[in-house]
Amino acid sequence: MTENELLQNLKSLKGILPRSEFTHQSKMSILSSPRTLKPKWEMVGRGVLAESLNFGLSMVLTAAAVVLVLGGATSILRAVFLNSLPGVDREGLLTEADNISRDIDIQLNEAEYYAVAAKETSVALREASLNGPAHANPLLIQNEASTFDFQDPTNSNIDDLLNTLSQ
Amino acid sequence: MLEDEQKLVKKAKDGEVEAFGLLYDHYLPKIYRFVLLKVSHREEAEDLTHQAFLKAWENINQYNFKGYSFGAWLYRIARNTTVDYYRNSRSETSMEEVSEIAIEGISLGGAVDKKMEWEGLVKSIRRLKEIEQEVLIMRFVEDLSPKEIAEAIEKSEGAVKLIQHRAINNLKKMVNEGK
Repeated sequence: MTENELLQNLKSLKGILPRSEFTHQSKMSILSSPRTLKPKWEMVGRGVLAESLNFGLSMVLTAAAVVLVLGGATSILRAVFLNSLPGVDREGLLTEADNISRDIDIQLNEAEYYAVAAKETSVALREASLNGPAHANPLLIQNEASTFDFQDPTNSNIDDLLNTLSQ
Repeated sequence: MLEDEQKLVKKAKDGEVEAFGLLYDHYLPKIYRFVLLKVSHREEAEDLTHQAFLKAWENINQYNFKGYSFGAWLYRIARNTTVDYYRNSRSETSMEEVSEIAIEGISLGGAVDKKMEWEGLVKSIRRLKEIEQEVLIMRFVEDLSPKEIAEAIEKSEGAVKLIQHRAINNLKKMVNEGK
């Protein structure tokens, strides 16, 4: 079969027609059905308008997220508020911000010092617990404990010393 | 394209039932043939055609004239309706159903020896890819322009011409192999 014959045969398929009974019934059924006119925005709900809005919204949100992540928001807001608000003492605000910043630096230094001191104490205690302190001689402590009368409110040795000092 | 088609569409949009009735009368045979050649079941073709026109009537406000006919928009609805039908229940075409289509044509004055030729042709069309079937029917049975087909199948005119070329070649091969 040549291409021309094929195309002729395809054209002859135009002879296929719907049943007149179906045509009539279907037409009556469609035209008698109540047509609910929906709002235009609803009809294009899944169409171009909705897609455009979704795309636009996502772009705005993405841009906002990027600005926040990069920390640009602070500088933008500072620039906006400091330059645009009337009656704002710009110099005063900047001095106050510097003072706060300096206080924070000092507190950070102190925190660092305490951290170092705590570390040294920790090391000393660790050594003491392992090796024992040099001055904590158990014999000396025992001797002092035996000669010192904790029950007697007057110690004769102390009294003698005090008398010597007063002369 | 129907004369004063856009005026009829506007009236139909305004709710004039008679205007849509005229559009229906003009396009029903075309849409019915398009669907029937794709599904090959008369009753299903009738149901799908009815559904397509009902959707068109309910959503006619969505149609906007952009240089293509109301028909292209109708074909798109019919195509989507058929795709949904295929997605839900695809059935094989029997020879009896193909013959039924052929008989419909013969009853309109065709010769008896045409029956075999038609059967072979319809069977071959159904063996083509979906997109090739659609382009072939719209272009060579219904005489739609490539621009209108492009709008109906949501592809470029260039793509339509390419599909058309492939479809004709494949169909020719299939029909000649079947002889």
